[in-house]
Amino acid sequence: MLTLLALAVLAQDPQPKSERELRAAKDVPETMTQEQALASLERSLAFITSSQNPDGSWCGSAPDSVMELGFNPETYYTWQLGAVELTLMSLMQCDETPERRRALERGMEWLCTTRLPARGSDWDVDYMWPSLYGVVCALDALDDPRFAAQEWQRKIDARGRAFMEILERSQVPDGGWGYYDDPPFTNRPKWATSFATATVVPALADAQKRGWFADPKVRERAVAYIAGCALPNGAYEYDLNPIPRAGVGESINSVKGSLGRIQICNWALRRCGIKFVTDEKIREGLGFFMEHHRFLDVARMRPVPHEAYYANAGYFYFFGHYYAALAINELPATEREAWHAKLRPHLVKCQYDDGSTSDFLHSRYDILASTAYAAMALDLGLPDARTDAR
Amino acid sequence: MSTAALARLAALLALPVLLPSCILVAEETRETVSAPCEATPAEAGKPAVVPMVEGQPVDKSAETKGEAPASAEAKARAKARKAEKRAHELELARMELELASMEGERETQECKRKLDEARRELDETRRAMEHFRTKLPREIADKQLDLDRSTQGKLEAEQELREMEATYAKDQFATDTKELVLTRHRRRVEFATRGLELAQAEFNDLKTVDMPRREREHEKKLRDAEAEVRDAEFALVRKELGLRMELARKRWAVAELERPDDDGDAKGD
Repeated sequence: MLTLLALAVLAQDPQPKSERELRAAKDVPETMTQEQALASLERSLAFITSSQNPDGSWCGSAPDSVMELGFNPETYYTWQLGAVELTLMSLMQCDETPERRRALERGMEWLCTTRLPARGSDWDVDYMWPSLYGVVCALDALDDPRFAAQEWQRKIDARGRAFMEILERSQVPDGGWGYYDDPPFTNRPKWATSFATATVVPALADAQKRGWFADPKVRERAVAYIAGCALPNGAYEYDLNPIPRAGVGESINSVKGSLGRIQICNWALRRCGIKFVTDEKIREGLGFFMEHHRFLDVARMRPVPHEAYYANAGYFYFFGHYYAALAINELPATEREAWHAKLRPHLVKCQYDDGSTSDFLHSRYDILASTAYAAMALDLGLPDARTDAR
Repeated sequence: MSTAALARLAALLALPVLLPSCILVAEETRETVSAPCEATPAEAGKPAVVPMVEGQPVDKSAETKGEAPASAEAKARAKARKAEKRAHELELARMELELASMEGERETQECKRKLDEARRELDETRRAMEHFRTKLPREIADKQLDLDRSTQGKLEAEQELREMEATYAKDQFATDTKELVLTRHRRRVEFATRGLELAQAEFNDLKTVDMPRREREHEKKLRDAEAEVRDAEFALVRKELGLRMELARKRWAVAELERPDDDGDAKGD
């Protein structure tokens, strides 16, 4: 009995026992405080700044894992580029320090000067990822006072336009963006996913205002693509199907296979003013996320994509948590902290001693991207003027 | 079928026609021979009456010995019968010669065909042997490739296991997943190790057992095929000689029968 009481006290203990807050699943509390989140966030950002390459980039464009050798060489560069963009987004979003400021500027310089990504092969269209996040990152940077100088504006605008140009010519006929193509392989790919499309859709209005693309249908088709993926059970389809099917059994399109997609699609559609994404729908999606979180836990660190229950893949873990944090911030301000408190333990419990984290293979791009997603997710739950504005 | 064979076949087909004709010739010969001893009209219309004593024919020639007309008639009849028989035997001898020639030719052809077949088989066996010896290094190289792949597969499985161990060494939360994935990769290393051992055993088996055995089999097939050719060659020579002997005998018999019958008691063979 005393042991049980002691365990109960330990589970509610808001203070970290050591530098590392959580060591095993049984130690994971249901909620965590902003202070705990901040401690974890600081370590994440310390990892980010300390792991920057001398040329301003992070990680590398060579494969780091023997488990990922089947891709086109260009693909590893596209993953590096995407991870760097997420890292820059996290540095722009989080509180500034001189060290972070230097890392941000050097990183932004690298992003604006490195070569543009290319399509890796007929089927491998992974260069969509740096193009999608490239547009988002560039738009964030153009609005960031640290890059208000004319020279920065010119470079970042040029880079953002270049990424947008890739997106415009790669938008699939259905309106979305994806990262693979199916036979017969075509210059404009034909397969898209709801969640890849949703990464960029909220930013497209700004991109259009800046004149990065002229045709308003580009954005309208993208929004319609995501909205078309919404299923009556609250899930979002992985990709748009002519006849939507609510997932049955262990389908990826069931709620349990859609936990990350629900958050990003709800957030993106809400940002685009789609009426059916009400507060209640966002709450429902976040409720699913917390209720069925074990399916994300068990998928995390699985080395084979989609091998876990409901076809969950490990690399959606931090992606899903980041967009869950964004979805939380779509709710009334009074509700947010309760949700963030529940979200934080699932971010912090995965953090390594060096501040980094990962949800898939131990490739540097995944570690960097996971750490950036986790940092942004934690930061979104902190009382920051810029975060509130977001 | 050759022209000669066709001609012989036509002759055989004509046999039923020719045989009555020969008999007719023999009848005519008998009539010609018996013509000097003309029977009376009354006798001509009646069957010959053979004297009988106590149910046994009586040799009237003995009674009439010394009587010239009766003896001459009997001799003429006997001669006619002999001529008739001789003509018949000649005809049969010719046909037997013809048949022996045809059958001999057919059997010789069959022997030649078997010899050709044996030679072809020998040729194929030699080619198979040659191909085996050409292919031998490729088969060994192929198995060596399997072995190298298995070696590399084991190495990669070990590398993946090391990577997974390093991955989960830092992660203290995903313990269940860690156990699951590491168990999977440890089993892969084990399978790769066992696969490599099997590949090594297969390679050794190929080089030390399978290949020598197949080479021995090829060599035996070659020896057998060579023996088959020799047997077929011998069978052909034997058949040709045997045929020549048989035909010589038949021709001799025909020639004997074709000779004028100077001596009624002379034997034709």
